Amino acid sequence: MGNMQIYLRAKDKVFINGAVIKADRKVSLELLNDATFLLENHVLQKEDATTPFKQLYFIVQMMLMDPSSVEQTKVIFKDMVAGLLESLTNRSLIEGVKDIDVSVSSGKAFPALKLIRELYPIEEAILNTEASGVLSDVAAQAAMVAKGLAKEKT
Amino acid sequence: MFNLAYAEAAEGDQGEARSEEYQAMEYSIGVMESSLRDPENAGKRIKAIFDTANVWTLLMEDLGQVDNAYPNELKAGLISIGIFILKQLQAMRGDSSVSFATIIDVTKTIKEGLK
Repeated sequence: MGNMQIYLRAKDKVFINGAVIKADRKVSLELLNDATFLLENHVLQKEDATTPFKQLYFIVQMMLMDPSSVEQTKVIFKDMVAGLLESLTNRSLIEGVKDIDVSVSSGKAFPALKLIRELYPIEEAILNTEASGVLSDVAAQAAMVAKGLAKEKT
Repeated sequence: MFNLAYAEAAEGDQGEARSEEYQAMEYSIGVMESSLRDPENAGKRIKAIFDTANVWTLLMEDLGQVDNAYPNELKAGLISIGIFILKQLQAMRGDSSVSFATIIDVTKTIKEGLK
């Protein structure tokens, strides 16, 4: 992912290879090599890591923000991946975890974060349905979705 | 075939995908209602279960794609319903006393939203 363009507004922060950089004005930066970076608005706070995939996100994020402890973090990551693969039943999530593992193992932690974010809606849906065994009020849910779909019409 | 047409359209532009989603729902409602009207016909029932499961499996796969433009909340809502419907269909395979009524109602509601 060389030549990556990053756009920052005033006071935005970006983490690049463990350094925290704050912009004082609107600026665009271009990374000319494969440095790993993380934008502040993609940073997940520890107290918000409330679901398995958010915890996974938090761990991968630590690899980017704290390169000095990346070896310990990798061990935690591998444990987490093994645990997820053992317990998950949804095919999209299982395939997703495998892709994330490959991405992280080949040193591409930043793309892995994107992959994890994309799995959030599937995880949320499964957590919603599994909490009650079945969808508690499927008619109400369908009405809400229909409203959302109608709004999306372009 | 219908399934192929749906998958192909899902790759096309948003408006086209939406209209194919609508048609897929309509098709699924059609086969379910046909089975509902003819409860003794096991073939119709199996076909309706199979086709409806296909419609939702494809839709859920499409929702998982990177280029799917729906907002996350809407994706989550649709996937929840998809999981519910697939579970319900699974139960129907083993228990012939469960009817399509709930799935038909839910699908009709979603279809209206796609209009």
